[in-house]
Formats: sequence, C-alpha cells, structure tokens
Amino acid sequence: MRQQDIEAVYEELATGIDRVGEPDANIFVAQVCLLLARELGDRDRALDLIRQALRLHGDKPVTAPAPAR
Amino acid sequence: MRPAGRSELDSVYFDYPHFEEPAGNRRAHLSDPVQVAIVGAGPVGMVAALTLAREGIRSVLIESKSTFNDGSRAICIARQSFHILQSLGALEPFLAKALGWTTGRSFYRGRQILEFTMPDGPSEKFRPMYNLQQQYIEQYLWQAIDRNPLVDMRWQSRVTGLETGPDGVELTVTDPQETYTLKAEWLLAADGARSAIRKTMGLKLSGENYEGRYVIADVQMQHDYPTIRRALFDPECRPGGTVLIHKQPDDIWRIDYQLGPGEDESEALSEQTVRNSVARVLGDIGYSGDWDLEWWSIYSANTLALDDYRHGRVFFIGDSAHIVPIFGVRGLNNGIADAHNIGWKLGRVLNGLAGEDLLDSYTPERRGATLDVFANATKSARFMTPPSHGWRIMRDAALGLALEHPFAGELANPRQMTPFTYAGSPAVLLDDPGFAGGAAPGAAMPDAALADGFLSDRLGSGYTLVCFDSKLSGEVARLPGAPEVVCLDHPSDASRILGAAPGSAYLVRPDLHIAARWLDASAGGIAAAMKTLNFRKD
Repeated sequence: MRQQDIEAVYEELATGIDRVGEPDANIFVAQVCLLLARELGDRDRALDLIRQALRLHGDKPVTAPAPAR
Repeated sequence: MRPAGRSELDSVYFDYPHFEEPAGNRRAHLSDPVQVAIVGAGPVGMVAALTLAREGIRSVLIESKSTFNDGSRAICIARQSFHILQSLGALEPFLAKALGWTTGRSFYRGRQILEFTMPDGPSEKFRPMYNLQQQYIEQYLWQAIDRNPLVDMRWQSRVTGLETGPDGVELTVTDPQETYTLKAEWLLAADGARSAIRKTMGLKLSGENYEGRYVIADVQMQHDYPTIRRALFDPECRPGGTVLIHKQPDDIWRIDYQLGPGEDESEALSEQTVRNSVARVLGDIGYSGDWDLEWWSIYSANTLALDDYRHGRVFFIGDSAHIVPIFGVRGLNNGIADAHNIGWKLGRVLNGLAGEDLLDSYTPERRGATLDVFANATKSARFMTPPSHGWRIMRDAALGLALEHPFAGELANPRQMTPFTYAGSPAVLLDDPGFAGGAAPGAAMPDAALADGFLSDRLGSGYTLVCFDSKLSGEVARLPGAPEVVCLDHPSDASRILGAAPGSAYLVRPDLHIAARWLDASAGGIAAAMKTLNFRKD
C-alpha cells in the first residue's frame, strides 16, 4: 500500500467518524473493523493487530464491570 | 403472576386439577422403607420416577404442591427430550399437542437480519424443537405416572427434615394429616432452583449472575404467524432492549422482554406496566386485534452449578444442581437429561445389572453438559444482554452490519441445542479409529429412516446393539446379559449416517448415547465392552 493509499483510508475514517457523530462513532469503527477482519480472512493476524493497537493504550485496568459473583 | 381478580391457578386455557395427600390404606405404608425417594414432582422428578420404573424400580415421589406449575415457564422441548419421552412411553400426548419448529428470525430495529434453521431432515423422527407450556408437560408426565404402579406419588407432602448416612437417608415428611419419617437407600433431589435439600445439606451453587432481567408474559390472541422464534433487537417498543416471541398451543404467545438497567422490578411487574409493555410489543409486530393477558413472571440470566452433583446417597438433578440462562433453552432439557441419566444408571445398579461405580459417571457426564451450556449460553447472554460498554458496542456493530452482511447476522444465531457428547466419561469406551464418519462414543445416537419408521423407535429399552450382519446379530443375542440387537440392511440410510461397514456395530446406552462402536465388530469384543460398561467386579 502506498502512502497516499493509507492517507485515503485515514481521511475516509476521519470524515466517517464525523459524519456518524456521537454516540454511534464507536459502533461505526467497530463495524469497519469487522468488515476489514473478514476481508483479511486470517483470525490470528486480526487478533494480533487488535492487540498491537491495544498495547498503545498501556496497562489500563479493566474498567468494564465484571459479572457479579 | 396473574391479572387482578384471578387466582394463581385461574388460567384462561388450562384447568388445574387438585391432588390430595395420600389417603385410605396407603397411609399405613407411608413409612415403609424404599429404595429411592425423589423430592419434587416437576418435569425432572417425574422423568426420574418414570425412568426408574422402566428399569423395574419403585420410587416414592414427594411434592409439596397440590397441582402442576402455576404458569407456562419452560416451553421449549428439544428433540433429544422427545426421544427420552418416547422411551418412557409418555410421548403420545406431547406429539399431539406440542408445536414443532425449526426456524428462528432475528430483527434489528424492525428489519430482519437473520433467519436460521436448526438441523432437520427426513432421517429425523422428531423436529429440533417443540413448544409446549410447562403445565402440559407436567400433566402428560403425570398421566404416565398415574398409570404406573411402580411410582408412589405423594402430593401436598413437604420434606421438613433430612438425615444423611452412608447407607441412605431418613426424610421427615409433613402432609396435611401428620408428620412421618421415610427411610430411602437413595435420594434424588429434584426440588428446583431453591432446593431445600441442597440448603439443608449446606451446599451452594457457584458461578456467575448476569445483569439482564427479563419479564416473561403469556398472552392469548388470534395472531397469524407460524411457529418461528422471533428475536427483536433494539425494537421501537423497547429501545436498546431485546424481545423474544414464541408461539405456544392454545393461541398462547410467550413474550419475553428485557428490562433496562434503571427499571424498578416491582414497578415493571405491576399489571398495568406489563399490559402497556405487551401492547407496545404487539404494536411493533403489527398485531392490532384483541388479546388476553394470561400470566407473567421475571427471570435473570445465571450460570450457577454445584461442584459435584452427587453427595453420598444424594443426587441432585435439574435446577437443584444447576441454573442456566434461558437463551439456550437448556434448563428443562438438561433437567430431563439429568433425570434420565441417573434414572437408568441407578436402576441398573439396583437391579444388580451394574456395579455401583457406574453411578460415579453421573457427575462428569451431566456437569460436563452443564458447563457446555454455560459456554454457549454465556455467548448468547452477552449478545442478548451485553454486560458492559464493550460488549454493547460490538453487539450493536454486528446488528447494524447484519442488515447488509449475513456473516454478522450469524453472530445473533443462538446456536440452540445439540446434545452434549460424553467424551471421556467412564461409562463410554474409546472410539474405534477406523471410522471415517458417523458419530463417536459419547455422542447422541443419530436417528435414521428405516423402511418402517425410524431407528430411534427400536432403541432405548436397555443397551442396544445396532449392527448390519445377521451372523453377528445371532452370536450377540446368545451372550449372557446380551444387549438388545437391531440388525439393519447394508447399505441403507442408517449405514450411511453411521459411517458403517457391513461388519460394523454401534452399542447404544439406555439414554440413546453411544457407548462404543466397532468398524469390524465381534461378539467377543461386544461381551468385553458390556462387562466394562457394567462396572461388574465378578
């Protein structure tokens, strides 16, 4: 992929997030991820890329409520 | 709960019978010691009693109530449970009344995103699922019990005390006339989610409670829609929530709807709120005719189980042993399978056909089935009732995507119901590696069409050998303690489904699970297998 290609994707996502707006922007990004992962067709590669992105956010504690025991 | 002015048993379509405590000369024998006592005459306790009776074993069935369940509750009966009902001789009224179904549809914001069908075909005697109200389930099982002299049914009888010992239990039972003691060699606790037996013995369920709460309401209406399970995600009538709709006999429709996190439970259960909520759901599905509110209740999704289903002479069966979320429709069906599993095993031990070690296979098999349900149901529950922000975002992303991409709709498939495979159970033998197809030991025996009916019609009265060679069939029939033998044509629908060669054989347990199979069977090998499976020391 050439630099201008990734730039095009970058811009489409930016304008897409703005067009969708809150509160659905998260959902939109998640849908893009699911579509890309399906196109990629490689479960392990997709999981690895998700974890690469997750590492950028450090060791944040889990904020989601765990199911009550 | 029922509308104002109607008692708990005042149904628009079901006449509740009233059963008295034991009377007359039966009372002189109330304290006669018994081999097996069963506490709780719901579907699970009744299936246990009928299964023991099929093995020729008497039982006393103790129930505190004077009639059947007050509402429809569990309404989905799976194929495997129909096979069990057939083997107990109780099938006929179920088949006549229940509504069979194969299809489910999921909708997101009013648009259909998924239609799934469960496996079915001409080789299957029964449909994958049947809808029938629990009080009918209990009534039809009761009819089978009532004509069975081996079951001593005691209504209005409450267990008020329990002593457990190495050789049995002593129950204290209180009925309207007196309090008496009853000694039993074995006790089956089928007394439900709030099991008093479990509490008395100091045992606790462990696992997880989920946040989602659902109101379940039955309405009677002339609604023209086939027996198809509908799931509505984020519908107009309950933004952000989930609604399930099932058809039942007698024009009764089950509507389950999710309560929001802020909704107060007692307010949500008030008659006016339930009526308003149901009216909005009916508006969403385009029904504008008259309807009667029949009954309603509430549940939350839990995955809770005992660590061991056996404690000495006490076995826990059904909800007393495990509580599962309803999305997998496994509560009733797993309970029936528990009851049938311990019923045939205990029956064979008490008959002297099998050694007591057979009973130790009950927990690994049935608790294994529960854990399998937990794994599937947890997935379903997360989809139906997302437990956190992340799960909700992904669920909504999938639902939105599903409008145009079927793969995302499949994430909404509840994957209901395949019978659990007892791989690795001590009551199942290792597979013959020669097979390229068919079903492995531990799995439910596949059904197949025969010239006159189905393979499943010929199974289930004990161990059954299914083979294709008349010479082998004759040799096995002459073995001491021989299984029943069913000899089929080769090639045939059955031989193809079972991946069988002309000399192959499947040994099927009384619960229609496969105990062993051989690509090239011999009478000697089958005799050795029966000896192992019977856990006999001699």
